[in-house]
Amino acid sequence: MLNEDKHKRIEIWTGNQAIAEGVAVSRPEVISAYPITPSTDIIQDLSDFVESGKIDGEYIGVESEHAAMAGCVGASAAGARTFTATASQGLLYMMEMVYIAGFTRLPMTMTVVNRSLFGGWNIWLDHQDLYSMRDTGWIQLVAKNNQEAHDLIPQSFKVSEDHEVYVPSAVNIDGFVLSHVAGQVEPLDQRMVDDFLPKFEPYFKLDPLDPVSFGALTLPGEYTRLRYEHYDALNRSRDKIRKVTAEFAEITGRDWGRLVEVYGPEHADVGVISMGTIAEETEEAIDLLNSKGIGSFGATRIRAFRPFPVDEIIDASKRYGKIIVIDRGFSFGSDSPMVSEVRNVLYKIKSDTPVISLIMGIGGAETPYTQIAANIEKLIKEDN
Amino acid sequence: MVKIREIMLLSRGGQGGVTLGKVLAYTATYDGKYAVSIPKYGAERRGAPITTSVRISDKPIKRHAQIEDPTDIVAMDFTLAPRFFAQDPFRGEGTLTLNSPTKPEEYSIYTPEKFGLCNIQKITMDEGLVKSGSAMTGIPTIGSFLKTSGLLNMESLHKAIDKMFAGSRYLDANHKAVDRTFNETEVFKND
Repeated sequence: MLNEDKHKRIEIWTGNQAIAEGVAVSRPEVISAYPITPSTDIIQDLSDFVESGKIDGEYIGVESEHAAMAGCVGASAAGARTFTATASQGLLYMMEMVYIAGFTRLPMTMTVVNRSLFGGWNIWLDHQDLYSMRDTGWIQLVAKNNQEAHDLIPQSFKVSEDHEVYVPSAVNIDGFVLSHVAGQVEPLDQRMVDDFLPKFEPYFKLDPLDPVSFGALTLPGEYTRLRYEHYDALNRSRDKIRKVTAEFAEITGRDWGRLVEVYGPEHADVGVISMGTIAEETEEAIDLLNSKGIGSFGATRIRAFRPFPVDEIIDASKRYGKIIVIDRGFSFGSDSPMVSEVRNVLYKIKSDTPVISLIMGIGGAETPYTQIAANIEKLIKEDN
Repeated sequence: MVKIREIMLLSRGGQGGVTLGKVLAYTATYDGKYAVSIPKYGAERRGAPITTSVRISDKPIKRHAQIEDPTDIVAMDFTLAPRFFAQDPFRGEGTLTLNSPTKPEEYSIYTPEKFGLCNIQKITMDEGLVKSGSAMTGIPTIGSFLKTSGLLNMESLHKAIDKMFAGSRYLDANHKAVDRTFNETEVFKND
C-alpha cells in the first residue's frame, strides 16, 4: 500500500512540475530562462510562481538560450541563487555561456530535459545533449523518476554552492518520459528544505562597494592553475555528493543512492550499468532475467555522470562477472560515451571484466523492460 | 513479476484524455495504490487520436515505457480501438470500456472478461461539459471505467475531481457526470 502514513501528502505531478516545485522550495533569487520543448512547463510554472509571489525572486525573460545563460552568469556572479532549464538545441545554443558558467565556477542549477539533437527533426528522449555537456566543468546529476527529480533540486543547489566545490550543477531528467509523465510525488516540506539548504553565501560576488573582477585577462600560468583548481573541485565534489545525498536520505527517508544506486544481487554473473529512466526500467528487466534461471543479474545506476563515480565502478567490476553498459547516445568514431568511461575506470585497476555496449532508446525509441531483458540475453549469448 | 493493471486510454485531441489520466492517477492514489499516467506526445492537434498509458499497482511502478499490451482499454471514441488493436489483446481477461450505447460490429473480435457500454458523449453534453465546441468526455469516462472494472472507489474519484477542478466552473458538472456514467454503464460478461 502507498498511504501507510495517512498524513503523507502525495501529488500527481509531471516531471516538469516536480522540478518547478523543487525549485520553488529552494528559494531561488533569479531565474533567467527561455522555453524549449520538452522543458517549457518548468519555465512557465516558475514565471507564474514569481508573478504570484510564491517565489520571492526575479524572473528574467530573455530572447534566446544564449541570453538565458548569460543572465544566469551575471546573477550568480552577483551572488544570487540562480536557476534555469533547457533542452537539446537550446542547450547547444547556450553552450558558449554554459562553458563560461563552468570555467568561471559560478554556482547555479540548470535542469536539462534530455532530448535528441537535430538531424531529422525529433523532439523525443535520448542523452546526446547530456553528453554534449561532459567537459563544461559542470556537475551532471540524473534522475530516474519524478520524485527523485523533485528531490535532486535542493541537493544540487547545496552541492553546487558548497565552497569546497563551487561549480554549477545540472539536473537531468528524461524528456517526455519524465517531463510529461504524471507520477506520484511527495512534496518537499519548505521548513525542511530551509534547514537543509541555507541561504547562498557566495565566495566572491560582484559588489560596487567591494569590487572584484571576473574573467580578466589570464596569462598561461594562471590559466593553467585555474583549470587544475577546477579539476580538483570536481574531484572533491564526489565526497560532497555522497555526504549531501546521505543527509537528504536521513531527513526524508528517501534514499536514491549516492553517486550510484545498486539494484538486485550485489554479486552477479552480469551487471547492467545505465542512467535515467532506462535504469529504473532495467530493475524490472533484472527481476525478469533472474526469474529465468539463466544466471544472476544485477544493476548499477549512474546518478552522477560528472563527477564520474570512479570508485563505485571499480567496485562494480569486482562484483560483476561481465558488465553491460546501456547508452542513450553515441560518440561517433569511438565506442559509446558511457562504455568509454567505464572501460577507462577499469583500466586503472587492470580489470579484465568484459564491458559490452548496448545502445538503446535513441530519439524517443521505447525501451520496455522486456526489450531490455531480450537485448541483454542476446548480448550474453553472442559474447559466450 | 509484479501484477500491474495496464490501462490504455484512447481519445482524440480536445476530449481531455490527458486530464483523464491525471485524475485516474489521483483516484488510485487516494485508494492507496501506486499509479502513473503516461501521455504519448507527438505533433498535438485537435481531433488527432491520442493514447495515454495509465499503470496502477499495489507495488511501486518501475516501468516507463508506453503500454503495448494493455490489460484494460478505455475508448472515448468507439472508432479508436479497432484502429490501435487489429487483434484481440485481452485473451479472455481484463476490461473494455466504450463510449457507445451499443456494441459496434467491429468489436466482436475482442474478448475482455468485462465489457462496459455507456453513452458517455450524451451524458457529457447533458451536463454542459463542452468547451470550444468539444465535448470534454475525459472525466465522465472514469465513472464508466470504474463501473466496468470495479478497480477503484467512486469516493476516491470524487476526491480527485475536487482536487483537480477546485474553483473551476466544471466542478459540479464533473461530479454529476461521473455519478451518471457510473450508474448508466451496462456491464456485460464476455460469453
